[in-house]
Amino acid sequence: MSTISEITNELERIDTHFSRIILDKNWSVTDLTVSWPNYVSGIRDKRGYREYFDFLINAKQQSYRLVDGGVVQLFYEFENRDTLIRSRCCYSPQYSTELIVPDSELDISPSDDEDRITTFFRIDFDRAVSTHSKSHFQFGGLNELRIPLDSAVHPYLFMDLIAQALFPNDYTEISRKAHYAPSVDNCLRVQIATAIDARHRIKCICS
Amino acid sequence: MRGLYSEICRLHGIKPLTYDDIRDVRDQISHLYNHLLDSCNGRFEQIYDLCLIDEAQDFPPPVFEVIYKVSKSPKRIVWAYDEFQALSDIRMREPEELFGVGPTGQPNISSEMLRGYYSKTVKKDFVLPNSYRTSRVGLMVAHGLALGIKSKIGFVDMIDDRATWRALGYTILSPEHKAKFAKGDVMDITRLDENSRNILEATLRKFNRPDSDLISIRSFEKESDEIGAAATEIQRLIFEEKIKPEEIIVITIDARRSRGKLTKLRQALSTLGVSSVTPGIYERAEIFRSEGSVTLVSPFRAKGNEGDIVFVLDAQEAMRDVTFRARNFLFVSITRARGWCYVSGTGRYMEALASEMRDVLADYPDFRFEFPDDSDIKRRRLIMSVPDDSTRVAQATLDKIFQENPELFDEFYRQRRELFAE
Repeated sequence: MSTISEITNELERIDTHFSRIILDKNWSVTDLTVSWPNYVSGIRDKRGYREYFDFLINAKQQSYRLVDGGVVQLFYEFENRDTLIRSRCCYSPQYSTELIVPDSELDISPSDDEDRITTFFRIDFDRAVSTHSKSHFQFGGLNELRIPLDSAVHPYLFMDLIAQALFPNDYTEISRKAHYAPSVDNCLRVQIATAIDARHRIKCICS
Repeated sequence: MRGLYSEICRLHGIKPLTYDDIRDVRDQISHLYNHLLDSCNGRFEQIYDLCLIDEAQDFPPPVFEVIYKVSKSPKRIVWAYDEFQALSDIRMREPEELFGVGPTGQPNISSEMLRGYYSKTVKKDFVLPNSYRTSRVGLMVAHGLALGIKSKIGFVDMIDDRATWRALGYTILSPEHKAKFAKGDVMDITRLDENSRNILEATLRKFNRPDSDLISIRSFEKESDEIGAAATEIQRLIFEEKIKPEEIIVITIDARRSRGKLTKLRQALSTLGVSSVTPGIYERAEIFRSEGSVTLVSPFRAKGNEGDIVFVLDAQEAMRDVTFRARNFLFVSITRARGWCYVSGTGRYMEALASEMRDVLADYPDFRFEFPDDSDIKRRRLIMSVPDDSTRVAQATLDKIFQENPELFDEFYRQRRELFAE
């Protein structure tokens, strides 16, 4: 079982262990939630990705901003301090590495091709749902593609996944440190990999 | 909000070029506005009743020509500039070079047209001698560095007539009567209180504090020390002195490595609980002085903005860069401060800069120097007029040889100089 103090401890360890890829930290803890100040729910609805991402940045809807410009949101809601009812771990990449024109007086757009990145990925858990798996891996708002998981993901493990996939050089350094250890046993990561491979488990509607 | 280029494109039905299209072009702004001039083929809509071009020292001629063409008659165009603030060319061009020529080959705007007065009272061309933003000590340090008055390598630029000094807000104490100065003249130039409208100096004096309290100069051994010191001081200012974070601006002079440097500083600030924004890197360029956040920028983004407290990092670049551009970045950065300015850098170049700054401050509120030889200044103006890219490559090569084989470098220079010296 996950408890609020377990999650908080992990966030504190993330602050130290992943410091080389963290640009800003912004998480906060209240009685029954782990989230960030001025949390806004439902922000991904009915928006284009650019608009959504700019909103995340302007309204600081983030637990962490990473050095690649991407936003990490780690949201956990408890019924009491030791019963998790909902969680969402989400990584939203900066929509273009050319977000910005290099220094000059230019006022032009960086590129016609700004929307190369159009979505984010997340791992959700909701104890109450019955129409689909309680925990799943999902891209953006694509509800037709949910990759089922066996449990909610802890923040440290989520950061481990991101660091491993997106910051391979930094990850080598991070994971080499003696204190480094994903808090949950590695099997959850294996499960995710298995789930991705096991196509029969993916309810995918190809259009 | 659209920029001028995008707006003119839209109004003329032209597809704007993007950064991808001009990534490898050397003079990108000229390229864009020439593209506009070519696409419209002289047929511009006259859109604007009045155009004000601020920071005009940073724009190439095609921008002025397009502005001339999109202005309604009688072409009410006002351009304001400060040559010391130039980030590319160092000299402001004459109107004949800026606004293009008409069908008969005559310049659209000539220097002659700028002489005299409007309605017999309003001067057409005038200088603003007062500084409303920067403190006197800040401005004098900045001017002293931009001109290289106390530089060990000699003067960078010089003003050779009394009228221009006066126009910049200075009073010549010595020589007393000359209108134009020459090599060997013993100069004593002061900046009177009346030309500085910054109220902070008067406040400091009331508390018996010297003006020089407004400038801090620090040299560090390592970059991480510089970052750590800046982050800690910013934290102190916000949490102990109750300074609003948005009143603090951090500028790195090392424009080419600004992303890495500002990222490290932002990480350090975040660890100390200080929020910051990096316009043009992690936030959109127009996000500046975001409430609750310190602003971290390169000199390009800093221009036109100001803050109560300014940190200038990597100031050693002003000494390392033999083309003097970084020196201009330093000028721009120091003059962003309405109040306190912290200048820091690393290594022996920073130590040399710190010593030069202290020499400038030692004569404050005067500049005291012997008027230099004009040929040195001419050579330096020539270096400054060469495009940035080619000078950078040449400098990097020279720097490499100097580092790897200083004896060869010395010998080569000495032999060539003796062989070919006039």
